[in-house]
Amino acid sequence: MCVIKKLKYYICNLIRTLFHTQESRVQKLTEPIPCTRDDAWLGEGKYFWYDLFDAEQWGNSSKRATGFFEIYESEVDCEDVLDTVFNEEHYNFWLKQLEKVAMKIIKKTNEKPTLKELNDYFKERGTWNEVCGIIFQDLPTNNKHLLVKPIEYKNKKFTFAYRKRVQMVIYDDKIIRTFAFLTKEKCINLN
Amino acid sequence: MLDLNNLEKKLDKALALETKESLTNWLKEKRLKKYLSSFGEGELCQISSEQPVKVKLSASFNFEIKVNSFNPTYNPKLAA
Repeated sequence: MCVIKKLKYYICNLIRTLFHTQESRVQKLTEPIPCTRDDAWLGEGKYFWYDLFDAEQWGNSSKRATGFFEIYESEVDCEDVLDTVFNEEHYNFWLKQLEKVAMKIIKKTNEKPTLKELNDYFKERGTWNEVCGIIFQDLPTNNKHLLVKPIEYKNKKFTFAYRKRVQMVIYDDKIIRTFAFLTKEKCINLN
Repeated sequence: MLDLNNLEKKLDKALALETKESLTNWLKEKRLKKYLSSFGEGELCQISSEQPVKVKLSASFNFEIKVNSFNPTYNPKLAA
């Protein structure tokens, strides 16, 4: 790979365009709102979607309070982000540390920790202050938009959720380079 | 760029110092906070009862809060 191509690859992978979804409010946001919900996967932080499609889906499913949702677009510097989705080394590292802490907690307390608790442990006890964010994924819960036919086996249908639903949680605002309003949409029923 | 070796070293150091008591207390504190946040925004204040409040979080994880010795301020941010 030539130097320019390498540099381009490097820059493209460090600065990512991501999407933040919120209920539509009277005033436009000037910065993303931190999520403090207890079911937030990776704890308190500012959550962004990798794919605009998922940002819209989230608006329709979970940001319905005012009948409209808004999507904001950000450029995020991912240099100090733990990328468990696209970076193999980071994924293996994260998995190893996660299971190590989980095993210790289970052994000492007889309790299984939640993913949020494990992540809190990294930050609070492991003092991972230099980790400005984490990229992670699950699979879409709504199979309606998948373009493959379910597999039928023993009279049951199984859908292969081939598309990753990628998110980033940001702990340190300094990596958010831009934050701008992108669109306002009326909530629709997904079912 | 993140130094994964350094992150692992810091984590291993923290884990090596953990005892049953330290981890149990840390986890209990987390879950108590979570439980209290389920009441929503507000402030806890003392009441005149001497009876402890028992909070059951899971089969093996219980809290017993003695009301007269417990007066935390609770003011969670509005959930996003």
